[in-house]
Amino acid sequence: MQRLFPAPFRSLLLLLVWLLLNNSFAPIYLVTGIVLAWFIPWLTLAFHDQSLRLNGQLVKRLSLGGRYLLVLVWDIVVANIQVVVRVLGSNKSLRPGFIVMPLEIQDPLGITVLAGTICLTPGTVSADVYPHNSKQPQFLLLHVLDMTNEAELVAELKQRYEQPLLEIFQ
Amino acid sequence: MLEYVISGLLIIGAFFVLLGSFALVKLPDFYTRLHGPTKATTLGLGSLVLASVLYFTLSLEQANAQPLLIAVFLFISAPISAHMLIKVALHQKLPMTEKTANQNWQQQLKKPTNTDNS
Repeated sequence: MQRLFPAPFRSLLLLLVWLLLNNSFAPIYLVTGIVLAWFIPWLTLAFHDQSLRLNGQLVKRLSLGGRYLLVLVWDIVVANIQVVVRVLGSNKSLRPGFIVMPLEIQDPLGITVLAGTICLTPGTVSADVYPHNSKQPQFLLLHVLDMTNEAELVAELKQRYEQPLLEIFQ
Repeated sequence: MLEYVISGLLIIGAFFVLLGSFALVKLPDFYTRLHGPTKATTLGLGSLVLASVLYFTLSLEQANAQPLLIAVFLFISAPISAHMLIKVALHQKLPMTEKTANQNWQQQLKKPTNTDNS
């Protein structure tokens, strides 16, 4: 089993997405789905860093992830309203700027999720990760649409998004 | 009642997508313009997708999860494309408005003592 499906979660996810895409549980889709769920993870196995495998406490991780997702959806709605207000306001009152945010989180997937979250939420777009070598402490470069207080924004981002992600991806 | 909810979602969605596109025209430089499509459009398309799911499952009674997949893929791909675009913009040194704060962020990175404590 372990050799046949080296990444069972990935296989299950692929099968689920395939069935949802076809919008049917007919045998033909089930069989092709299982074949694809076996073949694609097998094909891409070499790309994945095996040392990154998360271990243990799956339920806790999932519940933390669910809570994170709910917070994220709410924040996306709030951030959108803020951005709309700023877009409709005058260009002169905008204070765009760059921010360098030190990262505590080291897991590459965690950094990816954090960067994505920052793109979708409060008036910020993540621009780059420095240094590219992950052995040193890293920084996230952000572009902010309307910057009122730099330190406050960094503190809020760290507390609201990085702390839960640290718990999930440690 | 259901139709009011769906119409409301459609109008909200259209409003946000429109404003996201309007931001592309109105904002002063490339970096700020990027904020419109990444945010306004995700919420706009999100509510359009929600309206579509509600209409097809409750009104026409055909369960259909494909719109939800659209939303998931959109929420995964929008930040990544924004990230790549702004990275390329920085690499090509596209002009930014003079007001942009911290244009010299590279110097902050060269002083590790400054950022270690924060």
